[in-house]
Amino acid sequence: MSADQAIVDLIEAGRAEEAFDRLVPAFRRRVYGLAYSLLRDRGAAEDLAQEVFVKLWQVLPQYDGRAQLSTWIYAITRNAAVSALRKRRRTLSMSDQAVLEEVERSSPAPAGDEAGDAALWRQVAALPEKQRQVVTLYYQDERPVDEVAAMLGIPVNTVKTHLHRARARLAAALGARDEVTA
Amino acid sequence: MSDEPDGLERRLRQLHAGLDARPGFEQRVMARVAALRAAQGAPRADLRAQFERRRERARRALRREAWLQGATLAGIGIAAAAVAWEFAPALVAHAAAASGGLQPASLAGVTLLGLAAAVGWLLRRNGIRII
Repeated sequence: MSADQAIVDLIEAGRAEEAFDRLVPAFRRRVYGLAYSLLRDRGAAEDLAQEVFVKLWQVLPQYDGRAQLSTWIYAITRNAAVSALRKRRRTLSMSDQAVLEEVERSSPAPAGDEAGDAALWRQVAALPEKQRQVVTLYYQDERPVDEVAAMLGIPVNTVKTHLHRARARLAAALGARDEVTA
Repeated sequence: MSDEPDGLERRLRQLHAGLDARPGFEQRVMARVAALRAAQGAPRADLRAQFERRRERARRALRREAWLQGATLAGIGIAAAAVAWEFAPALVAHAAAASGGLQPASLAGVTLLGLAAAVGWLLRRNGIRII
């Protein structure tokens, strides 16, 4: 029995509090990853993930099992992200692109192989929106494409296409960069 | 030096592996939930328990009602079968006269089968399983 199914069983048994205790660690990376892929900002993603889990605590007893638990949680996360993005736009009154660029500058690359990683991180950040989201979610935990599709609420074939194009673009961009620096 | 496809895959995995909330995230969520629970949790728990009790009572009442209806229908079915059994010769004779060429035994069999099917349908409709 999967961890998600065990949580669903607890909810159906009316043990929502216990289900919630298990849900947070089980979905932390998924919710955070999805929030980050949509908001492009680590701090905002963490705030959003917190809001999503608090919301889940409130509505978990209402989960009726019609959709998969993960699909339900992803939809809640996406809706919360859309609201956060709207609020951010109103607050900053900048164009979308300017907002995203600003956010990206305030979002440092994860620690790793310094210069090379920073270059790759910049290339990922420069990908078209959907390609970047797919790359982030796919590589965060080596997720299957069908789960990435469920997270973003798009068809599996669209995820495959975005992934293929993103890889080609990254390979070309990094190849060109290496030729210049050689 | 340019990236081989496998190298790019590996680097992308490494780059994104660290994408996670700050340490202590779960504790922070639980602390917020605990604060909310303290503010609104007690009445909420009471309401939920009350709702559960009501739902359980309704479930029991429905189950009892379903059994009573099922037992009534089964009784009617059995009584009808007993009547048919008791007056089978007369019924068969009457039915044979009415239906002409049909064999009396076949007619009785068809009648009993029809009766059993009707009782079975009524029992299923009320959610009662005999077997």
